Amino acid sequence: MKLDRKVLLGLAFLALGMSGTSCAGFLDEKLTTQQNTDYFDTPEGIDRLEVSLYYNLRFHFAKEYACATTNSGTDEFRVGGDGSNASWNNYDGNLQSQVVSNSTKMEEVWDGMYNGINNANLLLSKVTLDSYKGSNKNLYIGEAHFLRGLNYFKLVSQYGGVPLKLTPSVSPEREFTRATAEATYLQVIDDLKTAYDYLPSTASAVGKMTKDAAAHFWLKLICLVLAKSMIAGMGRRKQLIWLRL
Amino acid sequence: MGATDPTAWKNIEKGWAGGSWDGSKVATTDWCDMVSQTGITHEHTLSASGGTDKIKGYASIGYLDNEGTVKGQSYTRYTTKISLDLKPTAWFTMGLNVNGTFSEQQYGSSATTTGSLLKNLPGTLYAGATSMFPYAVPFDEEGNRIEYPGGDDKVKNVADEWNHSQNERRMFRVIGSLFAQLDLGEIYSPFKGLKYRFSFGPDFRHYRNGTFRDEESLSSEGKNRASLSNQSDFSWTLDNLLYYDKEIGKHSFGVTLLQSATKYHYESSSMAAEGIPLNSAKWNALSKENISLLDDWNSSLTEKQLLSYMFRLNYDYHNRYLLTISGRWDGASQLADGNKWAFFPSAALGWRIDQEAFMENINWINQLKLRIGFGTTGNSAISPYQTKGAIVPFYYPFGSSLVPGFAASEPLTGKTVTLANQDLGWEKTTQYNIGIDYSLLKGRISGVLDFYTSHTTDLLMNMSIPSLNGYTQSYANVGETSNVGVDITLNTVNIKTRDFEWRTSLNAAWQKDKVEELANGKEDDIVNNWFIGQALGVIYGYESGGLWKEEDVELMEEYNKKGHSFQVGMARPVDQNGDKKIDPNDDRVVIGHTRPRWTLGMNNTFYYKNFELSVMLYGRFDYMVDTGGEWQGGRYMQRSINYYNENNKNADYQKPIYNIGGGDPYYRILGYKKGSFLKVRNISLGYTFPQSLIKKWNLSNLKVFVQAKNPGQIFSTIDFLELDASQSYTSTWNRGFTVGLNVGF
Repeated sequence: MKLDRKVLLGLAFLALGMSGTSCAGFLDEKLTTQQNTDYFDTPEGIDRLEVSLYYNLRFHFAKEYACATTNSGTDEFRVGGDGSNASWNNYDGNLQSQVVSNSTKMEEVWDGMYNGINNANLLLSKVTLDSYKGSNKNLYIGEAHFLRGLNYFKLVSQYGGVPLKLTPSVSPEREFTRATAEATYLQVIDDLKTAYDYLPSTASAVGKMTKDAAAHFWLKLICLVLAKSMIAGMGRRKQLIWLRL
Repeated sequence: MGATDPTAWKNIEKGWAGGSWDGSKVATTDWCDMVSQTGITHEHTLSASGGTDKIKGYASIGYLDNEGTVKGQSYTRYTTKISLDLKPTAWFTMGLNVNGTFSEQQYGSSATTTGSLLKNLPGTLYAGATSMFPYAVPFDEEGNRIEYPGGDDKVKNVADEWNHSQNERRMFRVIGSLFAQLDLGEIYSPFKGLKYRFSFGPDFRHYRNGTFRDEESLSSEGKNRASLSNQSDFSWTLDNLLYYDKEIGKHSFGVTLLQSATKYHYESSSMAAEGIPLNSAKWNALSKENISLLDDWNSSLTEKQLLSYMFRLNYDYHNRYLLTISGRWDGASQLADGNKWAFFPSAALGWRIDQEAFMENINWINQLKLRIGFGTTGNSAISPYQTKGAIVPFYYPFGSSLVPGFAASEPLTGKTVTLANQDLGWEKTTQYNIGIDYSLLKGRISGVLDFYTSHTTDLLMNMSIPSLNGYTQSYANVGETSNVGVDITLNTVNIKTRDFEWRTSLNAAWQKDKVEELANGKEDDIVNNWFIGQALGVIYGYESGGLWKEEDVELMEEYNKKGHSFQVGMARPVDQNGDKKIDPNDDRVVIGHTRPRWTLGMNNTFYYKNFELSVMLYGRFDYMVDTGGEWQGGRYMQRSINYYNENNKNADYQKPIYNIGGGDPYYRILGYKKGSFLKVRNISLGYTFPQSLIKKWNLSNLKVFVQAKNPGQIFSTIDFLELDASQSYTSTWNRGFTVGLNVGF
C-alpha cells in the first residue's frame, strides 16, 4: 500500500510534466500594452495618425537645431554667447558632413524630415484606398501632401536634391538614389498644389492647415524657382505647366 | 565670485597676502576625503548537513553587512539555503533546493532614479566630490552650509549629501529547484538503463527602489523629489528528461532526450513626484492628499517564452574513443513568426591516448586526451515585442484642446521606435575546436590546450538604418563575423618537499575577431561603427597627430585658409589624404580595437606546514581605450594633467581655451590610449589549526585567514584609470582587507 502511493506520486509528476508544456501556442507573442501598426488600418487609428503630421511640424520650429539649421548664417539670427553651434553661422571648416564638436548634428533635421514624410506617406496609403470612407478623407489627403511638400522643401533648401521616398516603409530598406534638385523641387510643387486642391479654406481648429497655407508655400517656391532661373530656358507655356499654374 | 561665495574668495586672497601670488598659501579642501570612509564588512555563515542513506539534508543561513567606501552607502543581505534529497526506494529519487535572499542596499546619492534628472550633474557622490573646487569650503565661518561652494550654480555642495538624499533598494528573491527521478530498470528489469527525470525550477524576484532627495541635495534644483518603483519577476523552467544507457561488451551507448520549456514574466510599476510637503515621508506618502500631480509614472508587463527539444547520443568504445552527437531545436517567442525555431547540431570526438596499449610503458604521461569538436549555438537575446511594430502615442494641442495622436515613429516624443522586422531570426555561431587535456610527471604538470575558430552568421543587432525608412533603428540579422583563439591552462607543482609546496596555475587566452560581411555585403557600415576586416568593437575617428607646434605654423596656416581655426597648442588630427583639410569622409580611420587580444590570470600558492599564501595576478593586453580626452574648457574641476602652455610646450594635452564655447573641437582625439595592464587582484594568507589541537576543543576544522583585495598594480599603460574595473573606464576602485574564520564542528 505504501509503495503504491509512491508509484502514484511518480506517475502524477510524469503527467504534470507532460501536460504542463504541451499546450499549443506556447511561443505566441502577444503585445497587450501598446497599439501597433495594425491600429492604422482602423478609422480611429487614421484619425490619430493625422495628428502626427502636426506633431512633426514642431521639428521646423522647436529647439536649437531648428534655429541653427535655418536661421544661423542669415540676417535673421547670429551666433550667441555659447559658441558651440558657431559652425552653422560661420560656415567654417567644421561645417561638414559630420559637424565636429557641436550640439546640433547634421543628421537631426534630415532624420526629422523623413520621419514626418514617412507618417505622411503612411496616412496617404491608408486614406487613398477606395475602402476608406471617412468624412475627413479629402482633408487628410490635403494635410499629408502639405506636410510632405513642406518637409521636402526644407530638405531641398538644405541639401539640394535628396532621395524621394513616396511610400511608407514596411521593412528596412538600405539603398536609395538621390534625385536631382529639379526633381525634388518638382515633387514639392506637386505636393503643395495637391494640398491646395484638397485643403479647406477655413481651419476647423486653431493651427490646422488651410488652402492659404499651401498657397503661401507654393508661391514661395515659385519665387525661389524663378529666382534661381531654374526653368528660365523653358517656354512660357511649359513654365506654367512646370509650376502647376 | 566674491559676491556669490565670499568665503572662497577670502581663501584665494590669502595667496596675495605677501603682495605677489603664492598659491601655496591658499588652503586646499579635500572634498573626496569628506565623502569617503573606510568601509567594514562582516559576513557570517552557519551551515549544517546530515542524513541517512534514504534522506539527506543541508541548511544554511548567512548574514552579510557591508559598509560602503562612500558615505551613505551600505549593503545588508540575509541568505538561506535548504536542500533535501530523498531516496525512499531504489527506483525513486527526489530532491528539493530552495535559495532565499533578502537584501537592502543603501545606494547613497545617485542619479539613477525614476524619471529624468538634470543633465550635466554628477551621477555619484564621489564624482560630485571630484568636481568640487579645492579653494572653496563647505561651511562658512559661522558654520552655515554654502550651497554653491566656489560660486558656480552647477557645482553644488557635496558635504552632508548623505543626509539630503537616499536611494534604497530592497530585493527579495527565491530560487527553487525540484526534481523527481524514476529508475524504471529497478521496477521492471527489461527496462534496465532507462530513467525518467522531471525537474522544475521557479525563480521569483521582487525589487523595490525608493529614492528621495531634498532641496539641498546634489542633484536637486530647488525642489525635493521622491520616487518609488516596484518590480516583480517570475520565471520558471520545466524539463522532462529521458535517459537510456546500455553496455554491450566494450561498447557503451547512452541516449538522452529532453523537452524543456521556460517562461519569463516581468512586471513593474513606478511613480515619482516633486514638491513633497513632508521630507520625512520620503517616498512613502505619494498620495492624492499630499501631491496634486505626479511627475512621472509608469507600469509595464513583459513576457517571453522559450521551448526546446534536444537529443544526445553518447558512444564509448573501451573507454578509449568517445563520441557525442547532439541536436537541439530551440524556439524563442520574441523572434518573428516563421523564424522562431532553429536547429543546432553538435558533435564531439574524444580519444584517450593514455588508454592505448602503446602508451603502457610511457610512465611520464599520466593522462592524455585529444578532443575534436564542432557545434552550433544560437542567440536570440533581444527584448520581446520587437517584431510587433509598436507605435508612439502623444498629445498635441490645437489651440486650447489637447488631442491624442499616434505616429509610426517620431523622435521628438523622446521615444525611439524600431522598425519591426518580420524576418527576425536566430543568430548562429558555429565553432570548431581541437583540444588536448594532459597530465605529466605524476601530475606535476597538467593542463588544457584549446584552439578554436568560430563563425557567426545573421548577427542579431539593433542597428541604425537610413532615416529615409521613417525610422532610424531596426533589429536585424546582419552580416558575418569570425573569431579565432587559443585558451591555455597550465597547472604546475614547482616545488614539493615535506613541509613546503609551491603551485602555479596559469590561464591565458588570446582571441581575434573580425567582421566578414555586413548588411550590404563587403561594404563598411560607418553609422554602426562596423568595418570589414576589423574587430567588431573598434574606435573610429580622427587619428591623433599630437599638438600643433610652433615650428608647424606655416603648415597650420594652410589648413586655416581652408576654413579651420587651428592654433598652436591645439589638438592636431592627422590629415590622412593630405589635402590640407580635415574632412570626415576622407580623414577618419579605425584607431584600434577595444577588446583585449590577451587576457591572463595567474595564481601562485605557497604552502608551508599549516600556512597557505596565495597571490593572484590578472592582466589584459593589447587593446585601445577611448578615455574621452580632457575638455580644458575651464569651468569645471578636472584631474591634474600635463597640458600645453607657454612654459610647457611638450605637453600631452591641448591648451585651455576659455573664450570659445566648444573649446578645442578636436580635443577628444588626444584621449585614445593603448591599454594593457597587469595587477595583483588578491593576496591571501591562511592558517589551518592542526587536528591534534582542535580535537581538544571539540572542533572538526578551524582556519583563520587574512586577505588583501586590489593591493596594487604591477604596470598599467593608463595610470589615471583602473582598467580592471570594467571594459569601460573608471578612475575609482576599492581596496580591501579581509579577516576570516572558518569553524567546523
